Amino acid sequence: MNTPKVSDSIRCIAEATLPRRSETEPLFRKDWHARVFTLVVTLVHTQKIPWKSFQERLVVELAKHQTSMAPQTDEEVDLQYFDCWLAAAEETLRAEELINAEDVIAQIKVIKQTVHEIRDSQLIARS
Amino acid sequence: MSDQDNDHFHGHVHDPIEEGAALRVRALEELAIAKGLVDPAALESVIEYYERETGPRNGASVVAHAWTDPTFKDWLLRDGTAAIHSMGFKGYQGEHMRVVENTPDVHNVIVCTLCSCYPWPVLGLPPAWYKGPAYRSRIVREPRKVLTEFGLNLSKHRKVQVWDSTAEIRFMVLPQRPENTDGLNVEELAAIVTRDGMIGTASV
Repeated sequence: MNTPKVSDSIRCIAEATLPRRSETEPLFRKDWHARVFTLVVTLVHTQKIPWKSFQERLVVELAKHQTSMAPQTDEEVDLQYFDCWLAAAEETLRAEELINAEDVIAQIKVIKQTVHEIRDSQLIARS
Repeated sequence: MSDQDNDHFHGHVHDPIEEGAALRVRALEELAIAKGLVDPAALESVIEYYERETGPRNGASVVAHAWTDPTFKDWLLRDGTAAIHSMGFKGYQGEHMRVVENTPDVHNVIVCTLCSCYPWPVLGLPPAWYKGPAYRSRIVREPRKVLTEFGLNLSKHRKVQVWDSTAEIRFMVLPQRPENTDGLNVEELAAIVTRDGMIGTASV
């Protein structure tokens, strides 16, 4: 019987259930993570939305995604976590009647249109 | 077709702004600005603040101060909010702080089981694993096992106390001062304090 080897193997399995840990991971993995974080914090700082209202929605969103204990990488945790932030932010803004769903759809169309116009003008300028 | 060919086929490299979450965030941001809910300059200053001014180095200096000044330590454990604010570490998610001390008999560890409540002014923003479902659910159910996975093997005689942060109160662990550090000054002591030590998933 080789106890140390058994312990090592159990430990390896156990360690795999937690995401990789690092003290030097980036503050924000993607630009939009920083932007949605900043938007919510600024709205709370300026008392346009109550933190509690946002946090309660964040809890609901996280619970929806917490269906499996499967191991996740740091990146997977962050991506899922900030997806939840975004959903909670949008719901809070709607619940506080600061924006409505139609506003968001219309603004997305405007941004897409603007991006295409800029691209088209760049293509014309280059041709 | 290679990625490069694919980009040529479409005539441009896809900008992430064109799709998904990035586009949605930008729409929310533009709406908030257009409706006068936020000032674009304020958005920039908030991100700068969290990148430059918050982080575990703040918490480390609080710990080092407590290790070297018994009066401050008493204050910190009695009224964490006021003691931490006195060092200039104020800000959102740091309004109501409680500091819990590790002793030879008790080891403390913090979590937020519901989401990711965390003392931003002293520890910065939480690491990914702190936000993940595995840590959030398991540290309460089987704290010793999880701590072992972090490399922290505690004596069975030492009690493990898990503190669940909420929107109302944030916790920070005051680690035990390591032995043989009598000759170190406050700055040198702060340098040995780690973020995980103040969460309780590591010793210092």
